[in-house]
Amino acid sequence: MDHAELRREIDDMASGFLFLEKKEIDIPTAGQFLNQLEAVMGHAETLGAPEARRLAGGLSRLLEKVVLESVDAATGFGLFERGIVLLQSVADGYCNAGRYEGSIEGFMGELAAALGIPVESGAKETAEAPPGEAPPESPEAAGKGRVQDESLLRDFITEGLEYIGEIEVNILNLEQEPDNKDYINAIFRPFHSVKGVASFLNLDAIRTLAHDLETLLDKARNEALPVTPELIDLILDGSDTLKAMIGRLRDEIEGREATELIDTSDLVRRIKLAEQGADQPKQPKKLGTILVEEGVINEEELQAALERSQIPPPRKLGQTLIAEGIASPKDVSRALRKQAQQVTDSNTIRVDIKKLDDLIDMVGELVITQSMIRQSETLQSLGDRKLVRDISQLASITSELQRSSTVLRMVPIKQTFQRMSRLVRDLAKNTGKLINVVTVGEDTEIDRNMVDEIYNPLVHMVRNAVDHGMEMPEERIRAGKPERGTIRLKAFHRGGNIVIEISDDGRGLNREKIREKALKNGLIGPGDALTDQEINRLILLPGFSTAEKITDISGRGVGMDVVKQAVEKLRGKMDIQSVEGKGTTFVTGFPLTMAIIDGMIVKVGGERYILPTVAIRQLIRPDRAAYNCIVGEAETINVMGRLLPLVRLHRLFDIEPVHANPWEATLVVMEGEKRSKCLLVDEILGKEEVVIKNLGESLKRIKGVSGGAILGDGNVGLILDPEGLFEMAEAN
Amino acid sequence: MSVDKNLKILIVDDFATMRKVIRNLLKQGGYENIVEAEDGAAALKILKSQPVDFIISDWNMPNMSGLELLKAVRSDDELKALPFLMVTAEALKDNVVAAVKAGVSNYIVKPFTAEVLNEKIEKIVKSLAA
Repeated sequence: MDHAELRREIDDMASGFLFLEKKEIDIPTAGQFLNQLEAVMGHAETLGAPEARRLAGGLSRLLEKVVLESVDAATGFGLFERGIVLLQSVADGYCNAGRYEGSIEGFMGELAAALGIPVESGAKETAEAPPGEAPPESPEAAGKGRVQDESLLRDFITEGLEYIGEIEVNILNLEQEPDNKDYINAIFRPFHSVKGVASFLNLDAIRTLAHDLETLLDKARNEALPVTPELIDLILDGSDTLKAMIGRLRDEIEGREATELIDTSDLVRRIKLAEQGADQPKQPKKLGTILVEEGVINEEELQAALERSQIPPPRKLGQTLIAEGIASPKDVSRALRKQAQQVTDSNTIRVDIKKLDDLIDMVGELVITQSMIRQSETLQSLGDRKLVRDISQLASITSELQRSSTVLRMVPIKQTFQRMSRLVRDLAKNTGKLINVVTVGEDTEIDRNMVDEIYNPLVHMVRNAVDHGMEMPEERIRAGKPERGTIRLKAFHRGGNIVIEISDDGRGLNREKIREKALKNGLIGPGDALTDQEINRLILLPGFSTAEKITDISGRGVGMDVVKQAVEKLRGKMDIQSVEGKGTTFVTGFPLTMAIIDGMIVKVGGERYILPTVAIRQLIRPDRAAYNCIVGEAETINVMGRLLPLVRLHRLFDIEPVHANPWEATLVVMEGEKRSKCLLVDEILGKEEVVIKNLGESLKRIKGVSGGAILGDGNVGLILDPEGLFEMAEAN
Repeated sequence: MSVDKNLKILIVDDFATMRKVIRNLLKQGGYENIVEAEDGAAALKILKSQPVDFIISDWNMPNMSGLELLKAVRSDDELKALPFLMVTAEALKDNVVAAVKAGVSNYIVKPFTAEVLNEKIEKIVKSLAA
């Protein structure tokens, strides 16, 4: 491409223009010119002919406006004609002299005035000026000639509701993959279609709301707005409102008494706020706020220091704090660093979860291997002190590596909470209850692989809280409580666990009723004295349900016992707190990760096994007298007044034990799902955190064994499953 | 000179109610020879199997958008001269300019009246006849 070719390109356009039938640029012609101008801009750019590029850019802008009818057609035609002529002479200049001697500024100014925008930057116009909206065809369209046909209205209602229903399906997908444009588009489309038809049917309220939601989504699609949980909530609320509005329309045409007009003002306000959020970059936290959060200074000191910093000569807050000795230079510089980090907050990358899993597995192997090396007798016999030091250094690096790699897979519990909030909202609607959801500790992190596992038990507890815990609004008012109930989802870390609390401020557990039911089912005896806590826990027993009627939410025969089992399968614990009339709290604790287990190593004969520490209640060395054996009946051990069945591990696994007598051996009191038993082992070797290994498909169904682990000395130990062992013992 | 009302018009929109709205408006203008498709892909199938004189297509559709349909039509030797009227919700600059560059015959902004629709059709058909 050279200047001559550029000129030919422009001449082609000019002759195309010259041969126009009428003094009018119609749309197909404008399309051709736009494409030609685009080519000219590109070539002018590469050839270094800035005037040609700017001029072509300006003319493109002009054509766009002509097409959009925001510039009068005759004015547009005249300007375009002069522009083409000027473009030809610019091209001439470059062709003959390698530059253009004249000036295009006069024409560019005129163009800018006609278009009402600066056209200076021509080629790079994309970022400028928000997409212009031309008025709808024929301004008098309102009313006149619009369709108002009942059969169309009916179609719209059916199809519209169906379409909006699709939004909910897609929004779940979007929640999982906020970056997926297809999902955004799939949500965008129903709003768009509803809006389009509503505009024909004179349904202005519906059209406006659908339009606002569509605009919001359009921003998300163009990445002007991040897909946040708040945005998703807003869209869901929006689609719910639209549904309600269309539902109201149906009531109207079916002659039912129309319900109250739906007030969208709050929703519209939220949408506008969210849209503005798009334009405001996130403000980093102020230095003072960081220092207060870090506990370096308190709020009053901050306010006082801020005021003093204003006194002339003004100083920066950090300077004041250091000068007055309120904060050390170290604290201030650390806070400043933290502030700087926030600005570059987006320093994250996405990694395929499979890669992370592999990495964590490999690190697990590394931990085992290094521990094998450390315990190697050959190495220890060498007596080389440097080697010993290096190996212990290796050990500490390895365990640090393991800690940090486990953290990689941690994700905030936020998403789970959001799904649960949504569930509460839907359930509340179905049951006619009024419920707010409050979440606390959304940022608490948990192993990503645990997230899916804990979801089902949590959902069941939430359903339970809505269905059984929460009262109907009238009942709440009678009880002197606010009409709208609250369900609180709270997460925090305690020890190596994540604790999740689900509380409602509903009616609380009716202990009298629970006790009656338990008596009737024979779960307790008439004389049993139970503490409140013990009564609460009765609802976790199999087959227990106090719900008077089966609703379609919970109480389908799946009781809290299933939830408890599911929690325990994840090596979690669960508890219930309840005050009658005030509410109930389900407390569940889960390990942060399923990859590591806290185990007790026990020895039977020559074999070693790992027992999960969570399932161990106590370790005992019983007296001879504690042992009972009635012929034909099971052996039992008297543990502090309770007779617990004895399970001989050596018998289950067919091993020759060192001690066969319970009073010589060691007993481990283990808790299963429903009962406790004493496990007879030879000795306890110690406690160890082990990395769980799957035994593979073929060994998956072996009873009593839940997995394997490589022990410190390199041998494999089997991890035992108490419930499975109990079942084996009972089958014998 | 008036436009032949026997023109076979293809309406492409994923929203059935919208197709019905357009069909009703076309009928008011005297056009009765109408076929419908629910997206670009379905429209192409129809275009391949029967003669069509005029396309009225929505912009935003699943599977194959209006723009994609337009590009497919314009790059098909048998179909490329077909009049193509794009229906958009607003005259969003980016959308319209993209359609114009891809060779759309004209565009129309929702909501529109039977008169405006008729005018657009006549304008397109007449400019082709000229």
